[in-house]
Amino acid sequence: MADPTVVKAESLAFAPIATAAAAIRSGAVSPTELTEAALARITAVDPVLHSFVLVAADLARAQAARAEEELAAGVDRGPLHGIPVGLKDLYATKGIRTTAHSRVLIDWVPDEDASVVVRLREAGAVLVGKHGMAEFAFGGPASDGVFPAPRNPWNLDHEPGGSSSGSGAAVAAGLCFGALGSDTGGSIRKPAAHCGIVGLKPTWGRVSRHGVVPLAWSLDHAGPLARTVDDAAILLGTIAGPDPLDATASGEPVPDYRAGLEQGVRGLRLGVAWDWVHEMGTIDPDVLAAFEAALGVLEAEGAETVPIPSAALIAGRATNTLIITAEAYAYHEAGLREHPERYGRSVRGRFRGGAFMGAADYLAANRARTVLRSQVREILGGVDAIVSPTCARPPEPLVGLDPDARFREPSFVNPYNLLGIPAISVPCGFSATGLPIGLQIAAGPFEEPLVLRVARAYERATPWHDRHPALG
Amino acid sequence: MAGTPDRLSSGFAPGEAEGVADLLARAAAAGLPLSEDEARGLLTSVRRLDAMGDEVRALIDPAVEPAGPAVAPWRTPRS
Repeated sequence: MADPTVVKAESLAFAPIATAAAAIRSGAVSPTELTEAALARITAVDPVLHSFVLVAADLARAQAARAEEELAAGVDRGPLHGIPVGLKDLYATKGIRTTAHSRVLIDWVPDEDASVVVRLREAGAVLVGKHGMAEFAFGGPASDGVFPAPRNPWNLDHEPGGSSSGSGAAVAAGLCFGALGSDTGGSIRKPAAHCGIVGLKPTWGRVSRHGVVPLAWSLDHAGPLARTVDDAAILLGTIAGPDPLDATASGEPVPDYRAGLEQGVRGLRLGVAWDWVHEMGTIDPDVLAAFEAALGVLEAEGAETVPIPSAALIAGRATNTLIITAEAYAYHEAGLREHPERYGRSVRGRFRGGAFMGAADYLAANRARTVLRSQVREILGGVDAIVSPTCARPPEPLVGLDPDARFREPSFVNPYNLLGIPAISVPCGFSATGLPIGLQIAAGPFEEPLVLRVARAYERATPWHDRHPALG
Repeated sequence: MAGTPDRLSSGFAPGEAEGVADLLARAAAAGLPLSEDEARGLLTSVRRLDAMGDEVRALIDPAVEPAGPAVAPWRTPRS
């Protein structure tokens, strides 16, 4: 007969963080039981999912035991206390190998935690492990990676989206309650959309990047992947804020991101850049149908959808691509000269492109960024938020997938890295083949409460977040 | 040899040998190891980046960036 406490913990595998936190405080389950259930599920499921490159079982057990002792002693660190979470393997973790999924860093064991890892620890979270990703967060699944490429829990033959691929897969599969990813051109929002979960790229500087292996400094954002909007709000509230170790981290006050979640969208004006949505005619019919249905839901909830100009959002792709390429090459220049063979074929080629750009190209892209930001600010003067699909197509089969192809296609996500404004992806349906589709909501700088509020209004009105992949 | 298309292997499309030779020369100048095959694989990407460079230059409007480019989104006239 099964141990009843283990069954109880397992039944919480897909629970919202607040539900698991309440179960801990009611005594229905302990942090240790929750952690053991997560570790058991990882053991059962991850050999086919490949979402973790390292499982920190001993650390997790120790952190869970400490959380249990603290809660028993009346020390309550908040909703993450005793909750198992994961990290994309580019967050420095003290004493734990951190590889960025690359042979270049295969032996790197940091001697300090990234600032946000410290914050998670101080919030009492339990780190169950490090997630697989695209090598150095640049691109898609690669056949020559140092670890197997993570797979999509909804269909293991498909990609989970990247670059925070393992984080998206693990959270969607119920292997942890949330994760931190990074987003330089959509790398939190794409896996969120492809795995049927929530992913939030905050305002640039909202979350410290100290101790996060960079891809492109002026475009990199750290942020959460979670199964619900409330979970994303909890995680963001834990990691947001100034950091003396990161000069780019903003001192803007951190609001309570959960406070306004239930305010709804009545009276909000949501902009739709239709020419962008239809750019190059590549949008999948199932994605378009899901997006149009999502607009209908938001309108039924009281929002007004209005057309907005597309030019600045379309132009953002080229500008973003140039800046990523130049900054990434600058970071990897020495490595590409001295040991190029340690990089995977795909990412090596992409990084090398930066060697052939001039300083004037980079600065031209930054000048264009300023212009585009001004244009989008003007658009946001007339609407509260901008909505779009997150990805133009559902997840693609891994066999035959060209990780470089998507860099030649329209993107609904990377302009918001360029602009530095917050954007969230929330599940908005499934393709005819049963693969998840995401809705993206973006707003002005530090308007995270607004994008969370719109996302929550949509989530509350739809059933998508209640569906989970059948694994394990 | 870098920069000399007549010394490259055969089988290039029109204009490709010159492009590959140019990449090899530029890679050598940058101290970047690059084989002929790798340069050939990179050529399309580099040409696309060049086209993007032209695209972004067409966007520049000195009237909206009198103090030069700004990175942080809150460092805008609105704030």
